Amino acid sequence: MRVLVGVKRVVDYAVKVRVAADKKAVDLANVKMSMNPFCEIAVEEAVRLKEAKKATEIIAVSIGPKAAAETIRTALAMGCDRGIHLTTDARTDQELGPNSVAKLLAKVVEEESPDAIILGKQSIDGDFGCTGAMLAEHLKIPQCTFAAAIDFDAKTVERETDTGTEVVSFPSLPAVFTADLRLNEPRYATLPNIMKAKKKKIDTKAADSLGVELNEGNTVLEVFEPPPREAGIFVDDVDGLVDKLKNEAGVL
Amino acid sequence: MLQQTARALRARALSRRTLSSYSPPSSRFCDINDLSWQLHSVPHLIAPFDASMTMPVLEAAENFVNAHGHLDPLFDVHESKFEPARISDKSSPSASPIVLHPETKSLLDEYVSAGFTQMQDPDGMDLPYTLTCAVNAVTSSAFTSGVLGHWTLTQCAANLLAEHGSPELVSKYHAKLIDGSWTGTMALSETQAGSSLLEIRTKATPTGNPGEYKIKGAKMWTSGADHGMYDNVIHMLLAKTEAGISLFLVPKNLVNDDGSLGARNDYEINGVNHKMGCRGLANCYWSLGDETGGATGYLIGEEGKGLNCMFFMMNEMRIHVGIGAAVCGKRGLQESLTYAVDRIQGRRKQPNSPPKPIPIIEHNDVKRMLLQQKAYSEGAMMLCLFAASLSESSEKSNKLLLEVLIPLVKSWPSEWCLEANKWAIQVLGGYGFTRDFPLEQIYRDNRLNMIHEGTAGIQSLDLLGRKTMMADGAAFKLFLSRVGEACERHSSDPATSALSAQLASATEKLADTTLHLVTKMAAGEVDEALASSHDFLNAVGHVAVGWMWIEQAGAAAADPAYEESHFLQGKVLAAKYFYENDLSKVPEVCSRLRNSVSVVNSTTASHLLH
Repeated sequence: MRVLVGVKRVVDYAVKVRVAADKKAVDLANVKMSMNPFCEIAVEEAVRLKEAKKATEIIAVSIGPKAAAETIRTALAMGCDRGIHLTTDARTDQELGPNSVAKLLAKVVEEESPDAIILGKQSIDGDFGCTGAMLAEHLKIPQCTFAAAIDFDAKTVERETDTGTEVVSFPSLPAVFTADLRLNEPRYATLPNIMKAKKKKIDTKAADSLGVELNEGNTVLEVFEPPPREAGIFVDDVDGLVDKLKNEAGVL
Repeated sequence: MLQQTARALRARALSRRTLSSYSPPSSRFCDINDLSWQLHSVPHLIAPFDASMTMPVLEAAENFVNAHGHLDPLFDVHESKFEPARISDKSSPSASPIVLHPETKSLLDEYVSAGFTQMQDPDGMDLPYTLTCAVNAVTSSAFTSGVLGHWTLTQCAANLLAEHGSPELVSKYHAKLIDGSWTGTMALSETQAGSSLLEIRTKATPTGNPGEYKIKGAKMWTSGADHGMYDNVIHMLLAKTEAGISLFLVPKNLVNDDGSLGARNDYEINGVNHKMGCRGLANCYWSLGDETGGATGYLIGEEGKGLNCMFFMMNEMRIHVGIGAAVCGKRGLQESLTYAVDRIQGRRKQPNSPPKPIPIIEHNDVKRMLLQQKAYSEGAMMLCLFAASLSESSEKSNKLLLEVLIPLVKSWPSEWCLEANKWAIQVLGGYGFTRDFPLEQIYRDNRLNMIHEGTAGIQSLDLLGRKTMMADGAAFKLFLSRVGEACERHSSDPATSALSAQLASATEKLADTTLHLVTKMAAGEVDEALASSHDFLNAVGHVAVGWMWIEQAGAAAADPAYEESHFLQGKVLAAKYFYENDLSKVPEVCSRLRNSVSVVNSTTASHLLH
């Protein structure tokens, strides 16, 4: 089985983001960037398949600026075999939306014909959570989203729902899987593997050379901070509380 | 594992990100961006090397401390215990009377499996030594308890063995020390022989088998001498033979020719020292040869050349101590910054200021305490990385310069980053004085650095008594002329011209004072001259760190991003602060050493005992 994983370079989860001066985007200057945490889970799943001798090759794909090559290197250090980097100057947190990404990934899949495509369930910058589903639709192949466990022998996926998990089966490969939190706990790359990753191959081409229309059809008008939380009030007694809940909050 | 789940959960909680006007570094423990900048963006100091690996390996180290750093206070609180009665299975090779916190082994195993013990392996990663120093700075930032010292000492023992050991000894012991199966120690000191190793009493007598000796005596201050975590402990031990002080390999368990473990060697751990800090690494006293008249040891190098063998390690170990101290200073800064941003207290005194309480980082006296920590810790780290880079060079002049820098690298960070930690505690006020915040532990842990690997006093005697006159004074002249060149380079840039003039003038006074003290010593007034050795050490140290700061300020000001970058502007401000607050004291000290009779030398023991 050959596996393709998507890895996205995003603002590190621990960074407190700031709105840029022009209020059109989040400020990315001098901000730590890392691999999207859900993509880490996708990579880990693929690497475990390889360690279990179920996967023969893992290809890590990233779409983004020059520096996204570092994110691919991280995936290679975790255990992927080679990388594909589709370069673009468009901001991947808001300009290049999930449909454009899905269309680009579909092109790569057509070229590489992997058996399984594993993506993170969503990226923590755009927070759309629909790239995987859109990709499967473009390719007309099965999709198993929000995976908490994947069994390639039984062809079943346990998936997260609002009320717990459900087990679904998928008819055949190739198929798209998106990784949720409980799928696994991703490893950190070891130093020797970081060194080895340096020698692995990354294929770089311009995203706009794939003949894909990269237009989401929507624009960001303004980015602003959430309003600060207002201070609460103290009520004198239970009657006061009930009164407020009934007459001001209207929840009783 | 738990930590990684927490990482994922935090990813889920990102929609609740708060927005703040301050952006903290990505780890509370360390600042890898600053390390990377010091390694690659300050010209004239670090010899250039391939930068492509720097951030990936520093990030790997940061991941390690972010994942495991919360364990370190456990090692501090649950100090190692000496409990011989608790040994259940005496036949187990790892059986030990030392009881460590149970998390110790899993942490040390993680460190090995992440690859940190293989960084210098010439057949493996073979990273530049300077970069491995930066990686060690990151990993030790979270583990000030010294728990990772188990592997540092093992590395030292392995290097010593590889350099001086016979091929038979190397093939039997070296691989197991590198792959994390066994640990190693340095067993030099004895109760009566610390700073002066000439006084050791442990004796070794040949058994007749080639290279094999029976060793009898007692050792003190051996860190990691026993632990119960791994199957063998390999001591690098100094003992006297008829030819003089010699170096021996003494295993805890004898090793058979097929590599399997044999009988327990004849030595006994007698207890642990109850230390003020660095409690993650048990420090033991032990005796050899109580039962059979001698523990088995194997000669490393030639008989009588034990101290020479050790000198091979000395520079590296002293750079290591400097880095440990610089890291404590920087960690204190990080911790006190984290607090100062969140702590709302007091209002601005400036007329017409809003009457609202403000974060204490806005108060000038708090800024002063933070700036001071920055000046000391980042200046110290630059000095250590510079020394590491020099030690990689085979160029003769670099080796000579390093000779002058080594006592400074060992002593300046350990004295002034301890001072930095004092101010870190001060930023937190009462909270800083409690065990609920990490600073009191960092302060206690850092306190060791002025003592081990040659006390501050030993370093000052080395600098004034030896290094100033080394190669007929050529080494020290080289140091002074390198500082002079730096002054010259930075004299025309408006951002650094005033610093350059101040450093040039301080260096000139230092040169004059040095000549005066050296002349005095040559004239036989050795006691009088050496009475000022500690003042001299700090004066030279301040000039050296002044040099490190003018290079950093110059690099920052010349960067095209300077106008937009608070990081780069902060470098220039820290340099200015250091010059104003610390370097300014050098001329005054110099003229005192030049012109006054030493009060210390005129004081006798009976004046103090009266």
